[in-house]
Amino acid sequence: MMRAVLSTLVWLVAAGALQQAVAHRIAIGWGVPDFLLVVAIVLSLERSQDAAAATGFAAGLFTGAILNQAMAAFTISRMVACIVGARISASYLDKGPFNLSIVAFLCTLLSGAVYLFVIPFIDTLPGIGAHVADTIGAAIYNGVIAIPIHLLYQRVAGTAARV
Amino acid sequence: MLVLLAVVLNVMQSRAKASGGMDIVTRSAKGLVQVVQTPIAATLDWTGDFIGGITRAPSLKREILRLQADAARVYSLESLLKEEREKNTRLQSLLKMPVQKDRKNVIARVIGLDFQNQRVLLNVGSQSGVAPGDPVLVPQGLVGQVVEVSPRSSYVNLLTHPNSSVGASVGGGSTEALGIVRGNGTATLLLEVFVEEAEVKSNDLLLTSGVSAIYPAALRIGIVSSVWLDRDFGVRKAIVQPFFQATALREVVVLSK
Repeated sequence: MMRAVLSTLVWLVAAGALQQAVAHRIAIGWGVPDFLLVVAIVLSLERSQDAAAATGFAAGLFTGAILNQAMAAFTISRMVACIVGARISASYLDKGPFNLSIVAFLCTLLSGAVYLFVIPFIDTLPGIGAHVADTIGAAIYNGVIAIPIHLLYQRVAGTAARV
Repeated sequence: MLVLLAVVLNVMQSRAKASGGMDIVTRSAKGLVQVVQTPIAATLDWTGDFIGGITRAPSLKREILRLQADAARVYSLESLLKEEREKNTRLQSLLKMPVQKDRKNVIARVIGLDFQNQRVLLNVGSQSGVAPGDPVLVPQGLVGQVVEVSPRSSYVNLLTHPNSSVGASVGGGSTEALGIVRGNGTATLLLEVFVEEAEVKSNDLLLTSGVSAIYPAALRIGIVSSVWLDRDFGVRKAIVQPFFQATALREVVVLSK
């Protein structure tokens, strides 16, 4: 349990660092990867719904902290995305690269949609058009980078398990 | 429960933001990320610069050469500007010089220096009203005398020229002594006062006596630096430091009639 928590924390901190240091450098138009979200989704695929919720919550907390805004909107939206990701993964899909990519894409869209529903209760509503465009861009990017992140996660997790 | 926690965290964050700060959770999470982010960003910056440097090497080389040429141009403009500023200051001080009675101030540029013969060449001549014998000055004092004139240029024998001599008065008032200042081919002048008892001492100011028709009275000649008595001839002699340096002369005023 403790090991899982620490491992999640390390993954999320690394994702947060990449988000800050790398994301803007590899942006393509509206497509900016959301490392924190995609890492949370990848981690959630292997976990129970409760663990996925906690992972999504932590990812949202880091995102809200980095941006210093809308903490609740980020935590709730990411929590929902991770729970749905874990549920889809558990019930309907094998974990082939293509399916993984689709799940990351859909969960990012879902996260963006939930964010849009939650944000009016706690903060100013962002421009809906720009938010939708950003979300679609991030969803496509996340769909692509989910595959190498999942492979990396599996390799690290496999190594850790052997150790 | 997590939703409730999210709301609590949000309230904490909003309150801290409203008071211009950052709550403990946000600060901690941000700090944790920053520990990893800083070396990653530094490495990426360095790598980007390195790769950029390699791929853009030819254009960077051209850019460096262009910048070097630009820098050289700027340096030369800067020194030109400095020179022009100094020239402007010198010309302004020449323009402020008082005009002598029955004389006209002709501002001239020194276009040649014959240091060996203690002569300078000016860019004004008879067309500007300059004539042989006209005194030449700078704001600090007397420089010499025009000796040769052509339509657009003229030669000036500096006071330090071996043939130069000018009547001088020293001391002023009741202790005033008259003498002759001569050039001796060096940077200094020689004063001869033919009265043994004359009071001449170091740091005395020498002025033209006005006895000759060439130099108007009361033009500054120089400062006495050392005095001695030549007992063989009964003459008091002194070394005089003129107010100009031949090599530093740029613009002068000719007192033409």
